[in-house]
Amino acid sequence: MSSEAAARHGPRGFDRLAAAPGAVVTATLVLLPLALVLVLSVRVNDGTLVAARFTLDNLAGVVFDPLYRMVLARSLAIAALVTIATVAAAYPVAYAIAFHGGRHKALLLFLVSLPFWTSYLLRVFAWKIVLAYNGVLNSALAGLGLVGAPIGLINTPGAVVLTLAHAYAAFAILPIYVALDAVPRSLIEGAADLGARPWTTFTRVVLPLSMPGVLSAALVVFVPTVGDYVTPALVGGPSSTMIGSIIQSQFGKANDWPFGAAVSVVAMAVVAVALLLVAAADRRFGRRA
Amino acid sequence: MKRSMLIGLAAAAAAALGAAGSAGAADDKLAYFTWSGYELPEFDGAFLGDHPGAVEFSFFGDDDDAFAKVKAGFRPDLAHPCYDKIARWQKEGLIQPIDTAKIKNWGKIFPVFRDLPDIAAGDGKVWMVPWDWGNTSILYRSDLVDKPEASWNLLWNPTYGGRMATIDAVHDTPVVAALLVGVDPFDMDEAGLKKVEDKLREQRPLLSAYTTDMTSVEQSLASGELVAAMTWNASATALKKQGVPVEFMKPKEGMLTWACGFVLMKDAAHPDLAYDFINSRLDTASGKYLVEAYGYGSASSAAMGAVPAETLQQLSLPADPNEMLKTTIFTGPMKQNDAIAKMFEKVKAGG
Amino acid sequence: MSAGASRAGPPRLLAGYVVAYLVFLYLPMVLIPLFSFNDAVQAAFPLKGFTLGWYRALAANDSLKGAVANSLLVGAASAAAATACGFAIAYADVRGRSRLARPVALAARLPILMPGVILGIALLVLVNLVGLGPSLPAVVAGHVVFCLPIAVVVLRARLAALPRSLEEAAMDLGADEWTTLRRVVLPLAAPAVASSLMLTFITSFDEFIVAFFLTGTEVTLPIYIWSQLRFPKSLPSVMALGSLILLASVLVVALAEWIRRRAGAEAAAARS
Repeated sequence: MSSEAAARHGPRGFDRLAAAPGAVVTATLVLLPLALVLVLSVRVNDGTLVAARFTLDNLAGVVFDPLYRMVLARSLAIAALVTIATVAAAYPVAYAIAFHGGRHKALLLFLVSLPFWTSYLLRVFAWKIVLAYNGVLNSALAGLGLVGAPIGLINTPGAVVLTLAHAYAAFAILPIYVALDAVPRSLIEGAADLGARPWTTFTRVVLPLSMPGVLSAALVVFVPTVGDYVTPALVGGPSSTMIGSIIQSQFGKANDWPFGAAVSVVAMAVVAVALLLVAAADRRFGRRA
Repeated sequence: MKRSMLIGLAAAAAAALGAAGSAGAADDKLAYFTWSGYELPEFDGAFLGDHPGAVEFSFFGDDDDAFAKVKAGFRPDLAHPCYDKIARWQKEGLIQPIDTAKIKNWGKIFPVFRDLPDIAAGDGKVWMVPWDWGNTSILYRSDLVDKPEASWNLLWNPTYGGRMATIDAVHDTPVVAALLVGVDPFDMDEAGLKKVEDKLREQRPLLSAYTTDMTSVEQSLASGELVAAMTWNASATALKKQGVPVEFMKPKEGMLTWACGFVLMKDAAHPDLAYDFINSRLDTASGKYLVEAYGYGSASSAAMGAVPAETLQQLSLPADPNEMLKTTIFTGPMKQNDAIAKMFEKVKAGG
Repeated sequence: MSAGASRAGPPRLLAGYVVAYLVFLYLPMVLIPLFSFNDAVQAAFPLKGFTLGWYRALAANDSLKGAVANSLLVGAASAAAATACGFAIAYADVRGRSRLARPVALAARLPILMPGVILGIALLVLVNLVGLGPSLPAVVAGHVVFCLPIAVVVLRARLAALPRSLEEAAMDLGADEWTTLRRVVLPLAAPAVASSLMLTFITSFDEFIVAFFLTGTEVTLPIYIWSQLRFPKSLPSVMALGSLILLASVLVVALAEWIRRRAGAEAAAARS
């Protein structure tokens, strides 16, 4: 396109063309399915695909039934636990790579993300082997004489937390690393020059500056975890049933699609609220650097 | 990034999309939607001889998921659900009757399967052609469980709390619970549903898992992590072969027997291929392979007859299901299936 | 932490922690190759002897190879499409000239909130309504939606950080919007594009839940692995596969790193 042609079409034409593909894809692939779910959630379950009549019973059923509130609360709690564990465990590693990695930064980042290249299912299965009755962990503990009988680690919420902290490690480390890497060393040296001890420099300079990365990491771990049903199904046992399993079963075994859609709508709303709260907190407390 | 690289990438992406698209577009093949593991060519000797390469498989792990997919609009030609779900498929208008006159081995199918109430569609037609069957019972470690009473109540025994597992399916665990509280699993009222719910709730703290992952269940039984679990008969065979001391219980309330088979989808694009396929699978060779490879029963009496008696012994399969079915509970359609399913999901989640 | 401390190397505690963390990361991973050579069906200790049998079984397993090929195909297509769309959306948003751009960018990040189950089911209904049905293109569509937020976030961060002055300078020199895009913005955004492609590819390659609903006769690798889990006999072969995938990714990343180093060295040599 020549400059004159561009001048005739002007920046407006370019902008429209630039925005068009994104708009089309987003409308068909994101908004349409979302609308479908919202519509489905307010229909009566008569067994057919999109159902006929309008009702608020499904949504009421989810919101007012203590069981679903409990499962939702449990999902949020487990997801929060996984997030905190993953991010807290990941932070020192990201710190070490950013500040002490030197020439080996790329290698270390690679090592940290490599486990992520195998199949998620296989990784969960590997954890089953580690945590099993006669698995690696129990054999090691017994071998060291630390326990008398094998401890029941598998099929507990703890196993879910461990497995997911492992699965999301790279997702947590990378954003924190990127944020830490961007911290100007001059600020740190300046703080030291002003007499601050290393720990104080960390808490008052480095940590606040890395918060956007930490929040990114938290987001990337928290949201998929809330809706996960595969990991709890494989290593969590009945006490770890999460909202994702409930949703999945409504579309499968229970054959109540409108209800499944209603549970999804409520779950999405709750997660959105949680995210908004975090974003608000970030804005209020995050700009202290 | 250089321009040539960008163009190269775009071309690669387009090629990938194109390949992905064309990978599925084979119009002259029979589309068969079945349980994973049933695509082995040994099942289709005759069919593949007449129509080489003319079948395409899609898999499911659970026939509830299969139903969800088909309900959402997926249209294979033939599917492989189980007997207890036939009513659901038919009510939804997803299947069409199969003409038994066109099934040449129809007569060789055991009468008990031919005469199943829910498959009759009138006029010599059926909704489902039975093909495979098997038993579900408690598989337990004979060395870790002290001479248990032959009853499903073992799975409610607090002594073994935390070391038991059960199958995560509506037609297994809730059926057993119903049997134990004296409620008809296939037709219960509100009061009955409540009794079953309480019984299931009583069991929950004692279970390590509700699962259909037999790989893990077998491993756990072998390692001693589990001492008792509800499994299918194939697991009993597998563990015995590995030398693990297990017993497949014959509970006094009765084992559960299941049967699955072929349904022809409404508007199937290749009905003739479908009939050929069904006929081929009902061949003796096909049924015999099913028994010997997977340890499940074949609905064809000719096939069962072709399997050596010792093999059947080892597999705990009777040569004549008629006999066995006098003492087992046949999992048929449950009238309140959806209500029970919902209740079961709630109990599993802790409610 | 003063400059002196970092030159002296990481404090012992931190180094020890990193090592412990890497052990935590790799312990389960090591088990996969270990049991792929184990001469037993069950993945449990004690080990029963060395065998290459599972790898041989793998080589003969056509459905498995098909699943791997499908996953690679779907991954490539999804990565390309998601990155391309993500770029368009991020670029339009960063330029800030179109009022549509902002809401579109926001909507593009919505899929993060949607549980995989619900996305899978909604798309399943959609693809059936348009007559496409569950199939690899349907999976690609599902993965594009799933990966779009990643692409948008990564690209937007990079594009937002690019100084506007560069674009303005190009325009002052007579370049139109398209030329500026092609010759100024795109090259500068290249690392983010590469990043986005890699992240979306990995995400798609490993994605299970959405694919679960949208696969038809051709399955992707995670679906294949899931289906094999019902069969205790297949576990060791699946572990062999996992080991091979691990090996392949190590080689690919090592290769990419080597290329990068050489390109860097050549550039450095050219400059001097």
